[in-house]
Amino acid sequence: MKKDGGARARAGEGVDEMETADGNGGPASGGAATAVAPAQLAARDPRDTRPERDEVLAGLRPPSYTVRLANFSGPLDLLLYLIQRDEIEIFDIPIARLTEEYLAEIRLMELLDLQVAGEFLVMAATLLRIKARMLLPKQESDEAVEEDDPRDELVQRLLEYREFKRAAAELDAREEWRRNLYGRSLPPGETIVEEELLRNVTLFDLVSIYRQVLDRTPRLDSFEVILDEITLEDRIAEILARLDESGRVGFSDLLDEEARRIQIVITLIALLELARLGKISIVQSALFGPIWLERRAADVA
Amino acid sequence: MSPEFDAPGATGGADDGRPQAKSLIEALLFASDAPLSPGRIREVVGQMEDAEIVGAIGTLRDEYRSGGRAFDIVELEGGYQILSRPEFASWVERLFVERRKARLSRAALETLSIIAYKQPIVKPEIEMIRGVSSDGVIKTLLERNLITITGRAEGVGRPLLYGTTQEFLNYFGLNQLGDLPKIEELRELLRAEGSEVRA
Repeated sequence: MKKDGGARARAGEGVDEMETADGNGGPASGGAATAVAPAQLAARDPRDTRPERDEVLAGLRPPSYTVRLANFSGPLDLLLYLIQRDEIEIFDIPIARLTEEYLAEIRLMELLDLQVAGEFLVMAATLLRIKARMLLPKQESDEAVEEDDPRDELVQRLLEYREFKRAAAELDAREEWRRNLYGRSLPPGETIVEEELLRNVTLFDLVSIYRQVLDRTPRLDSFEVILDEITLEDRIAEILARLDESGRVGFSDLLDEEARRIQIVITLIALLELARLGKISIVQSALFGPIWLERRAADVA
Repeated sequence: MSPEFDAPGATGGADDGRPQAKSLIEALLFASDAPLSPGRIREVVGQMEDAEIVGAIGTLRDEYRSGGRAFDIVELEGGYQILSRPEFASWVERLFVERRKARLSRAALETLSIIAYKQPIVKPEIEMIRGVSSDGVIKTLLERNLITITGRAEGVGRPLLYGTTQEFLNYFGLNQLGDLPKIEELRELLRAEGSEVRA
């Protein structure tokens, strides 16, 4: 696949981000996370779990934040790990013991990402709530209400998550196998544009190119205000004339020739309007490849 | 191709000067940098039944395998492509050092598997299953062209729907989505692997 330099750089960033943890909470959100977590716990927990709750909070308060979460992709992953490690029967989870193990594990973890840590705390609260409900005396008609097990919802989530985790392992194996098979490749920069290869461009792609062009446009420190230099109608007419003349025009060529931001904006709006009216097609041959504008066949003549 | 290079017998050519279907298809597969579907092959060679194309490819594959060739014909994205065999990967890899991409993280694989099985799917549902926020992973998967926005769901906020791409199939060496194990098969695998699932 052919990519330009900018695309490569962005993909690289993405990979880094993935390998630490997902979620977008950075260190800056620390205050917020510590403020939110106690509130969640307090709101969800009945009184009788207070000692445990205080323990969690004590264990997680900075600077003793030590969450080892890079090993786990989320709280469900951590729970499954504990269930497997301790050979726990998933349909009959000893909730008090599992909660204890979970909290111990959380205390051991090194905090890398506060937003994810928050999600681990939400699960801690869920476990404590289930534990509390298990401790409540059963109703008189206990045998009949078996589906009312407080663990049910958690078990269902664990089972579903475990299936996708297994599917992910399958994908992992396939990825490993596939990346060791090499095919021929066209030399970089020689992508042949053929009609069959063209696919429809999404709004997402357009906005991305638009942003690239804006980024390339030098920002001015001083401004000169020129009113109504070009109207949308003029620009639409211009673009149609260009297309009639040359059949196909590059999207970034069209934007590049406009020096001023307002003109770039007008050009983009003109293109979107033309596309909306079905007067032009917007096509792209490859991911991150050039975007082409064409007159709709049905509209010509 | 000029006629004078069509040495008789060199490619087992038929009487009319047209090479054997098998050799013709082999040339296309050899030269292509992407999987070729039977339909695409027919577009190029004309007058050939899909069954004939598939048969010729099968013969070629048997020849490669029994002949100990360093490459094989692999089914990808509903087509066929000649790829080097995995046992040569460590050498071929050195030839294309700059092309080797980072492998996907566990979070990314998890998210992808959820999308692959439940597409089209909205982000909140992915996050519900995973139990964690998935913004970063989804962004990376979009950038690597493994998933795409397929539309918007009905309902409040009309959230974006995600689905897998052609590139997803290619990346994981799949011919079609149906080649992934079914959910029931995954449950069976989990059971077989000694997890304590009792139906």
